[in-house]
Amino acid sequence: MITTSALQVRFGDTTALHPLDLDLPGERIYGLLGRNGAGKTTLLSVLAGFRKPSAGAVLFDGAPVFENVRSTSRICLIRDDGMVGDGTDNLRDVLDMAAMLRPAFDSGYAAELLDRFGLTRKQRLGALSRGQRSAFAIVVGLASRAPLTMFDEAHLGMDAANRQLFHDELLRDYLAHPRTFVLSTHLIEEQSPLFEQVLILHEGRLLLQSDLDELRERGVSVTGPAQVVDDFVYGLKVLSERTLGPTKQVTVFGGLDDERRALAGRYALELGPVAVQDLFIHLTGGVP
Amino acid sequence: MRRFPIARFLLSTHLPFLVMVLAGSYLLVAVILGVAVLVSGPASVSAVDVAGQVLHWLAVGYGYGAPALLATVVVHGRTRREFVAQHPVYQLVAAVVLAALITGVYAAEAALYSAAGWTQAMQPDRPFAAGDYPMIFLANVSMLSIALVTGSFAGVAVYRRDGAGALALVPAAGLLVYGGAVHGFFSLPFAQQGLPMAVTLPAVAAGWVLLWACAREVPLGNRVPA
Repeated sequence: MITTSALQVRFGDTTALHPLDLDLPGERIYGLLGRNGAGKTTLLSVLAGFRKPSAGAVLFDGAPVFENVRSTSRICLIRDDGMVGDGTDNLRDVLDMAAMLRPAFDSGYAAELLDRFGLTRKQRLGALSRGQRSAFAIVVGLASRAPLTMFDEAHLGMDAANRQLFHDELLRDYLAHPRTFVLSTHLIEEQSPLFEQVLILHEGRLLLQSDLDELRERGVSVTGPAQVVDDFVYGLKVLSERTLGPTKQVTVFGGLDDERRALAGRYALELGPVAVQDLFIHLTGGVP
Repeated sequence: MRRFPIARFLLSTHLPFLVMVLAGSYLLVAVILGVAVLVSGPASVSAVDVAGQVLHWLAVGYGYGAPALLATVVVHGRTRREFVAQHPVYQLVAAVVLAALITGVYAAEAALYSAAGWTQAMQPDRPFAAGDYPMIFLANVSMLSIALVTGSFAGVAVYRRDGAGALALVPAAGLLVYGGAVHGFFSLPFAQQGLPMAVTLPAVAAGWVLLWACAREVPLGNRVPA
């Protein structure tokens, strides 16, 4: 689907992306994680052809992306500013424009989504609230039906109900029309259930590319009476702790061997999957 | 895939809007003329010609909005190369259509003035006289096409947010003075030669080359979320 080789982006003396080799097979949902300034937006911008790489190449189904309409017309990037048209345009104008410019744009689906997000065609883009603008941008992104659709913090300002609607619609449309999604987000726990594979960028470098399940196996959550849990995790790498009354949940990095798992069983401790966010924080250097 | 999607989009949406705005503006001019005649007596100069002095700057301002269009079409999967090829074509068509409308308004005003017994005098530096409709049309096509492409080039140059933005002001100013002179907005000798298209073609070509140079690799900026 999309590959990069030695992809590099520099802004003057600053290197935003160090030489990056990436291979993202099609028809999957990828989660792109990284701290502020990690290079996520820059990476998505070059993948979409919004920016020319300083060095290296981006190929989409084997063809270059930058200034190649055969590629760019099949890629959609919705950015965090939510601007998909001129602020003076009403939503109907923007949707009409998208339908003229994008070969696969589904106007019927856009109209359906518009209703579900509670937006009307006569509203002016520039007059929408932050959350409404994000919702409208998501409508445009999903209805583009682009084989590679990327959302860069596209949910900014949206309330919890609309974010849930976004997730539900993305999954529903993904199953009905399989294609590749890349979701860049800081709402890791909220969006990680959507991910099939996780990419973590850190300081302009690809720190990790892993299936979600494999990532989760890199840690374990241990829940039980506080004192018992403390004794059990002694000597292990603790990523986070949460206490509720006498009960404590601790996330540890690394798998548990059979002996420890048996021990957990004897002490009636509950072992569970690790929170992706805890692993992410640990892998990217921990809490400052 | 449909051919020339950017030009088709602009011709089907922006051009009708511009025609409506221009027609509405001339209706306003007619109302102002009516009031002026009631207050001051018979008209002695062409109201359309006086009002037309702002067209040059309005066209520059509209062209200056090109970066927003460029960014929008790239967001919707098109390329800068397509934009640079199709946007100037739209501008030329728009210049012809708007110039035809302007010429028609001059003719309508001439008929009105003739019926009322007034004199339709033009501004002193205009390269056309009252009733010289071919030259009125050509001069306006010339002025509009130069102003639109120059505004676009300057807008995209500034959008780049690098040294090109400041440097672009020099050739942009030259092209605007050139275009203004052709239309008689400025008093320059070559504007009186009666060959507006002869100076238009190289000016538009220069504006297009400069637009291409600025736009061909321009990165899309990200607006700061509110």
